[in-house]
Amino acid sequence: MVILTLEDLRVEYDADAGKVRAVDRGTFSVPHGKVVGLVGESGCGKTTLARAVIGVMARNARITHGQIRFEGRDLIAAGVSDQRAVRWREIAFIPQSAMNALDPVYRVSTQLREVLVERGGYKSANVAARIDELFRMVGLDPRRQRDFPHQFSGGMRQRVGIALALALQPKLLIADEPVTALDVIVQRQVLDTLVDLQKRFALSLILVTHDISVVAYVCDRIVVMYAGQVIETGTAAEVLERPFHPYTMGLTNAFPDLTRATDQLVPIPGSPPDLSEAQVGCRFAKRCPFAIAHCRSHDPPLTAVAEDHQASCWRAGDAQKLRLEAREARTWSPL
Amino acid sequence: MRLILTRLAQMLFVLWVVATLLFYMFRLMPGDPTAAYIDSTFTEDQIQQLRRTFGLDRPLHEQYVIYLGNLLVGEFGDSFHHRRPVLEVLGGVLPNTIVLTLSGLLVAYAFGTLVGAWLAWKRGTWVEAITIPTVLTLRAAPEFWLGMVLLAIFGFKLGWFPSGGANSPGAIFPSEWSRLISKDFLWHLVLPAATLALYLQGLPLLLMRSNMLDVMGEDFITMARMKGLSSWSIVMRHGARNALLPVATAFALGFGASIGGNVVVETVFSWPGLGKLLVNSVAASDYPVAQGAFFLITVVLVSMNFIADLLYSVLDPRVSHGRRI
Amino acid sequence: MADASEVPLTAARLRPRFDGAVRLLLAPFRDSLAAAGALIYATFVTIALLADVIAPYDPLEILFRPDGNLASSMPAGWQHPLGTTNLGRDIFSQLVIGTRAALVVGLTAAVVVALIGTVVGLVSGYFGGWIDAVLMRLADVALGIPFLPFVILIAGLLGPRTSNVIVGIALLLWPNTARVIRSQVLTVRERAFVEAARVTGASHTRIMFVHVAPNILPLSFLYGSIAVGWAILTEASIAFLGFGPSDRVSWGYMLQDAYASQALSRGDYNWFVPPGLCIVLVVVAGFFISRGYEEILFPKLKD
Repeated sequence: MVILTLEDLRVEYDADAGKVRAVDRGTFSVPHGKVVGLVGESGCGKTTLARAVIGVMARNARITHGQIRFEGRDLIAAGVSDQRAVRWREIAFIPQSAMNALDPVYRVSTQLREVLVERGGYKSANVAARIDELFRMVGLDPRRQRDFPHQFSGGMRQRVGIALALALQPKLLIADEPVTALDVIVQRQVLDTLVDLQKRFALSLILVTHDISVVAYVCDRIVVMYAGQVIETGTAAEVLERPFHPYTMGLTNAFPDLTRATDQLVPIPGSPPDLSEAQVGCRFAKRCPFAIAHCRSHDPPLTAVAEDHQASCWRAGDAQKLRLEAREARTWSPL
Repeated sequence: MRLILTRLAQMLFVLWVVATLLFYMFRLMPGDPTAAYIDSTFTEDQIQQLRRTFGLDRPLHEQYVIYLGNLLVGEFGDSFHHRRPVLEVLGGVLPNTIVLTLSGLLVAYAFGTLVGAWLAWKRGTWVEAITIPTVLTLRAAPEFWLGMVLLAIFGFKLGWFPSGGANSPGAIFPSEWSRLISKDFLWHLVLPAATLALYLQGLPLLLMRSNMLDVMGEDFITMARMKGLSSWSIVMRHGARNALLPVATAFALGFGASIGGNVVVETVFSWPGLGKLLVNSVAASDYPVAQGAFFLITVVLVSMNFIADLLYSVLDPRVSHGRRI
Repeated sequence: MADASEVPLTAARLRPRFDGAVRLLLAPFRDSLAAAGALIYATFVTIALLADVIAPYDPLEILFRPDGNLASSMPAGWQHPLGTTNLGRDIFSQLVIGTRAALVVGLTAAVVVALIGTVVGLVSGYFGGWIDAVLMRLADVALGIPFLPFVILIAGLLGPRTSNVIVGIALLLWPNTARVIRSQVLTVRERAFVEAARVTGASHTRIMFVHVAPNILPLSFLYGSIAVGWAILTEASIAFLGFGPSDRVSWGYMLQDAYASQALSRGDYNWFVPPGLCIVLVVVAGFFISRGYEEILFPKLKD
């Protein structure tokens, strides 16, 4: 059963230079109770996409096409008050930097109380108990609840962010790079807490990140984005072990696998295209070692390439051979 | 704590420098060093008394020490014009100035803060395009000219308010307090306070607007929207509360600056306050009063600057509550 | 003959060019408000320069009507575009001549303030150490002295001359400029071309005035343009309070004259409204121009 479906979503920004289409083919779905990793390098549009789901984008951004269906309901067509009703109660957000996401002049307990009372209908009497419960859930000492945000360490602040997100028992969580700003050891701890809670409450989770090791560690499904488009989706095992899109092949090369000690790190040379200019053909073609003439003139659609596995590549048929070539460093040397 | 002590030391340093400056200025100006304290109209007894109090027959550096000591207890000598101790004269006018400044400032800041926040909301609209130049124009107008225009229209032409002074001539009051809250006083207060408010509102308005624009771009406001909080909660509870910090500091600074700047408004409305006293005493060469009034104004200014610094550390939890981990 | 590529990388070649500074100076006028401000300034400067030609009468000359009576409190008309004062002087002439006083005081004081502030900021920021400490303490003192009362004391005790007013303004208004310039110098000081100049042995003065200064000049202009407004307002206030020169007609003088002659109760709006309006125009023009500069120096993101 699917809790969220995005179909061909397009999001445009009004920038000084003109309109920028930050998201062009936003298509994927999230099954109930699963963790979906939304992966891509910075600027690929994953955060824009994530924020479109909860309906709070930058002031100059607009959804120009496509559908967002949450539990069957069309969120885009819904009126402003209906959209607002869904926020936090059913769809919640964990930001990248909780330091900036928490109001510096109010105590953490006050900010939790605000959400509980104003949006959750909690009565004063029940609030205290719920705050204690939330703190314990995320592994924080409830006695710290009256502290101000700046008095917490980075990792603890992220936990507060998680507590806030879970306050109203939402069904879908969107976590935007929740552990990127933390150091490696704390990253693992916070991630573990998050996953633990996700399993405990059978939450659906969209985990936005550029770090493929995080995705490999935690996710059930993976959605890969490049230059504003979704270019590959499937189960984590499938996408990581049998990638069909050359970009995904390059991504999976870029993180060290301790089991293959003799391999070198193979980064993808070049950089993503400038989205303020109109795009012709496959957007990855310039950086792709396997591109053919057809790729540069025609944009490949997202099609099924295996069971429960989609990718947008004209050469999907040669995937097996290409995967082997992709493992070699010289394939990726600058073209 | 260390910061507070440093600021306090700075404050005392400035006061000391000003006191020293005044000492030399009033000794050098009139020519005869004793002219700073003694007027020809004083009786022989008075003259002897003052000679002793200020050590006027001692060498200069001794006089300086005595002068500083006197300053600390508020001993400024006797007014040439009023024939009373300067401190008494100052005390008589101080309440008028404080009430005028406070009322003007409070109205200005209440108005400015609300309109400033509202203007931030109306970013990019024609409302902004018209209001901002208007506010700037008001700030460009001389305070006293605004007072003159208000006085001409509402005082003389329409006769709604009295044309000057703080109380009607001949009015008697049982105590200072009852005078200050009397209808007569308040009626006299309206025009000068309105002038002040009109002139001062520009700063909090522009400041609040600018702060709101900054704050509304912050991440925690985006989060507030994601939480689905009402517009009121977002703008007021989160936006305004954060934007208010610098405005509160500005208020304290504004009070200090206004005490000195009020001079012209008090003159236009013949308001018997500290500023008017300073002007009159300088014009009449009543040196003890001029010195005393100037020093008192300086004390207020410097103290309010100090309080403004304190305010920030108290109001911003990031400063008042230290890190624990 | 030496190969061009072997010319040493002297500090002179790394020095920012002055035409860049000129371009920067003219840049704010893309903003419409700033352009309006510039236009207003230009108008007033022209009036000031041509004052003697434009003013129909001597501003202090007492005038008589054809029938021999004093031309007192006449309303606006052909002979007297703004009417006359209660003692028979032409208001319009006073207004025109007053332009000169306002601009002279305003610009002089602004230049002095900008100069002092810039030099202090430069020296303070560049040398640091005890020089910095002393200068900043001096700034603290200047900021702790109440502005208008101080100028009143100076004018009252030293005499009601314009130069005294300018001195009073300059003594207290420089700290804000100095502080901003100082922080700018602190950043510029660390930049490569300054390092290069030091390495090639340029003297401190040379580095300060030839290399660092051009980078902070726009700031000096910004604060200078702000200071013009405050100087004009202060001069008007001092004249209004009666501490200005009694033989020089300025807008403040006109307002003082009007007030003392009970123009308010008589409702002689033609007397006391125009001078105030002129002050407003000149000062607000300064604000607009400085806002134009501010947009460049501290640009805010458009969103």
